Order: sequence, then C-alpha cells, then structure tokens
Amino acid sequence: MNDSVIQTDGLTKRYGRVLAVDGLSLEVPRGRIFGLLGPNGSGKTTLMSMLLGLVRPTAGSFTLFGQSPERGGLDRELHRVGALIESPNFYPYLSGRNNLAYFQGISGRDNPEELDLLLGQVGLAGRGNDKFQTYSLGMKQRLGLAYTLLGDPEVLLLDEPTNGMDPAGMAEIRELIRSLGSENRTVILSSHLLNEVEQVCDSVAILSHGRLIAQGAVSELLQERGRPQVRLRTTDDRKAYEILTALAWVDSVSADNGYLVAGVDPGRSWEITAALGRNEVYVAEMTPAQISLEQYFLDVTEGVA
Amino acid sequence: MAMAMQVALLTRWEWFKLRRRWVPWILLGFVLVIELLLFWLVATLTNDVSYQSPAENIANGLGFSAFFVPFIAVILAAAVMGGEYGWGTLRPVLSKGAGRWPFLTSKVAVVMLFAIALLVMLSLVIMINGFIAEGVLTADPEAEGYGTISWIDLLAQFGRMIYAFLPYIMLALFLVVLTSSNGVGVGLAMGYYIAETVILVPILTIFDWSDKVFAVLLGPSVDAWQSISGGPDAGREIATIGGIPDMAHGFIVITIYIAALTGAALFLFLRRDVAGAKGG
Repeated sequence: MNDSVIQTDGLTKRYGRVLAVDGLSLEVPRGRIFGLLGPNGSGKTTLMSMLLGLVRPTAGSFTLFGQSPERGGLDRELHRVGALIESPNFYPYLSGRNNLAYFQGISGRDNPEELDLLLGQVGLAGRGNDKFQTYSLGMKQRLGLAYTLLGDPEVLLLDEPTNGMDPAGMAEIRELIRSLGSENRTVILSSHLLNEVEQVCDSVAILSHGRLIAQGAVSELLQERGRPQVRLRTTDDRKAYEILTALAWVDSVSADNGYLVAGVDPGRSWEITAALGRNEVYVAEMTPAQISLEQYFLDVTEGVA
Repeated sequence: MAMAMQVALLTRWEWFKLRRRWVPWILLGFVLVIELLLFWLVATLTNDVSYQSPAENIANGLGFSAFFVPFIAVILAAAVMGGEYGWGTLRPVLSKGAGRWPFLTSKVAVVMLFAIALLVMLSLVIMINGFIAEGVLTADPEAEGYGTISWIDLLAQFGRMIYAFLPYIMLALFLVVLTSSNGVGVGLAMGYYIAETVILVPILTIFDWSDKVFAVLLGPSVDAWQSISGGPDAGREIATIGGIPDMAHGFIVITIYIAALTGAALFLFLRRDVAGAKGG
C-alpha cells in the first residue's frame, strides 16, 4: 500500500509568461508535518491551490489519497482535507460561529458541539457570535484554523497560518499544529518563516522559482549539508583564535556574536581543550554547533534562477 | 441522485446565508411598497373594484410585478454570486468539496426560491388589500365580467412568471462569472435589460424590417410568454417563426436563452482558476 497522501509528477502551472510551478515531483508521507519552504513567489500557494482543485495544472499530474482529479474529480477526497490558502476569507456578515456552521453544513454535517469545541480550541470561544468583519487579522487566522479542523480531516494544508498574529499567538498556534501532527494527521505547512518550519516540521520541501530544490527530513538535510562545528568561549579568545587557526585538523575558525566557531568534529572537543590548555588558554564554554535551517535554505537557494 | 442531494444540501445552506443578508430584505421592502402603491393608485383612481375577483386582483398585482421583478432577480443573482468573488469565499467553499456545478446550481435555486417566496408574499398582500379595497370601494360580485380569471389561470400565470425569471437570473450569473465581479456583473445585466426593453425594443418597433430581430429578443419573448400587454413593446405583435403561437414562441426563445447562458456560465465556472478576494 502506498503510504503517501499526496504525490505530484511533473506538476506545472504557467500564467502567461510566468512559470509559477515548474515540473514539480514530490511525495508527502502520511502522518508527518511537512513543510513547504520558499521565498514569496516560489510557487507554494499555487501548488496548494492545484492540490485543492482551485487551479488547473498546465501539465503534469497529481493524486490526493491516490485519486487523480481527471478521474471523477476530487470532491469526495476534499472532505478529508482541511485547507487554508493565503488569507482567511469568510462571509463578513456572518458571525464566526455561523461561518463555521455553514462550512460544516455544506460538508453534510450538523454538529453544534463541534463548533463550540473548535472555537474554544483556537481561542475564539468568547467571540464566536461576533461578525467576521469585526475580527482582527489574528482572529481571522484563528477562525481559519477552526475552519480547517471541521470534520477532523486527515490532511491539513496550512498556508502561512500564523500570518498577522502576535508572538504569543504564533507560539500558541505552533503548539496546536504540533499537537495536530502528533495525532497521525498529515499537516502540510507552507511558510517563509524558517524558524517556524524548523520548530514544527519533520520534513520539508524547498521551492524556488517554482522548482523543487531539496526535499527530506529536516534533521537529515541539516546533517547532510552541515559541516561539523563547535562554538566556544575562552579566557583569551584572540590567542585562542591564533592557536586554533594553526591546527591542521581544524578546517576553519571564525568569530560569531562573542563566540569562536571552529570547523571541527565535536568528537574532538577534548583535543581543542588540550591544545588551548597547553598555551594557558582555558575553555569557559563549548557546545556542538549545527547549521540552522535558515542557513541551509540560504545556501541551497543561492544562485537558483 | 447523489448530485441532486448535493444541490439540495447546498441550496439549504445558501438560504441560510441569504436570509442573514440585508440585500434580500431591502429588495423585499422595495417591491412591497411599489406593489401596494400601484395597487391603491389604480384602485382609487378608478374608485371601482367591482370587476375584480380576488384571483383577478392577484393577477393584476402579478402583472405589475412582471415589469420590475426581473430587476430584483438580476440584482439578487448578481449579489449572491458576486459576493463569493468579492469576499474570496469561493476558495474555502470549493476546498470543502462542494463541487463547482452543484454550487452554481444552488445559487440559481436559491434565487428562484426567493423569487417564488416573493411572488407568494406579493399575492397574499394583494389579495388582502383587494378584500380591503372591495369593502372600501363597494365591490359588486354580480357585475359583468366578475371572475373571468380563475385560480387555475392564476396558477398558470404564476408558473409562467417563475420560468420567465430564469433567463434574467442566468444572465446575471453568467456576467458575474465572466467578469468575476459583483458590481460589473450587475451593471452589465441591468444595462442589458434597460438597453433592450427601454431603448432597443421601442426603436425596433418603428421599423417593419426588424421583425426577425424583435422575435429573438429576450424582453418581448418574456412578455409574449406571459401574455403581458402594456409594456414597452405594447401595440406590436411579436413576429413568430413558423406560425407558432406567441406564447409558444416566447417559451422557445426563453428556453434557448436559458440553455445558452447556463452553458456559458457553467463552462467558465468549471474551467477557470479560483483566485482570492477581489473586493467587489
């Protein structure tokens, strides 16, 4: 049995002369929090829109739960998906609660308890009866999240879900997404906030100019790309810099925010301590350093045109 | 069967949204006021309703409605579809698997439901006012010609009016889908209605050579189908093709308009990409 909820094969979308998505082939495994990374205009939203049947691909194909849109459409499969694309758009004259009731209703369900539960889950319990047009952007995002969770979908497609939220709200929603992903649900999170993706996602796909340039588990990508490094502070950083630079088995030495960063396998930390100690320089602090997702992203997208 | 159920489900929830909007209530109030004004104006001017049975009263009331209810249908159809483009709500609706053609069909259904409810309400109001007028203006049931319109005739007229709304509803929906805009869609649909009934038809009436053009216009065909006289095209027999009666000719032309506009609206709506909010 294929354990991918979404598979794309050479998926392409062209708007006139602009190639928004360029021959994209990727696979989203079931039960993972999958990050879609890319700068603005990299094709993330277009990709999600194609997966939801909102935008017709120019070429290529895809399947959702193994079903292709050419064979009978995706309406049935879409009942198993909760999606929020770009800004949360709902009926301004309806209350938040009535908006949810409407979307629940057109999915063929009538469960007022679910509405209360979801409004509470996203922190809108006290504002559910207010009209959508009175909501702040952060509240609209919260209602959007409640909308995606209607019917307890197996797959969530979230496009910039923390957009417009304050830091506390962002942390709260990140925690909610993490908990949703731990319930054997597949979450596809599109964001340009690399820190957010690194904190939440198990695996990522990186897009640039509509093309897939990297895909895999976050830890594996960072390990594969990341050079072994240690960060340290000493009693005399200037002298330590000279000593470490002279060592043949240290690849590089640089200064970063009051620390020295040495290009060396963290397993050889004791040898650094010994080398510095012989020259009467003593280590105050030393930790293994890993390349961040942000650095990785900048490395792989550099020069992609 | 499953598709019909889906359309019924979506129509129910379209009604849920519609009754929470201001537009239908404003239109309803407007129509009621105009209808009552016209009814009492005619009744007091003639100071005699002795020739009018309740069915005739309602039939006359519906006759007034035939001239301006298409406006209402156009505005409402454009509002229910145009709002989806303006607010960007097509994305969340279609992402929930509503299905494109069931969704568009439910829009037609909900406007038709509203139009039927409007006509029923107008009929009741006219009937009640007819009874009041009979008391105030001394009706005489024994008078000659009293009761020439039966309830069956009235029901038939009612049905013809409902069918005649459809091409206007489809025209508005097609133009909204074409332009992806509520404002432009309603403007074009109203513009077409006014251009045809107020400008084109009277001009064409002057020229004998224009018979064939006149025969395929929507306004005159709707009037022929409803057997209405006194409209902008009054005083002119509709040119029929193949010698078929006016009413049947009107039915055929209306049906062709409905089919063409429905086909065009569906073709565009099913094929086009769905974008975000357009703000009107």
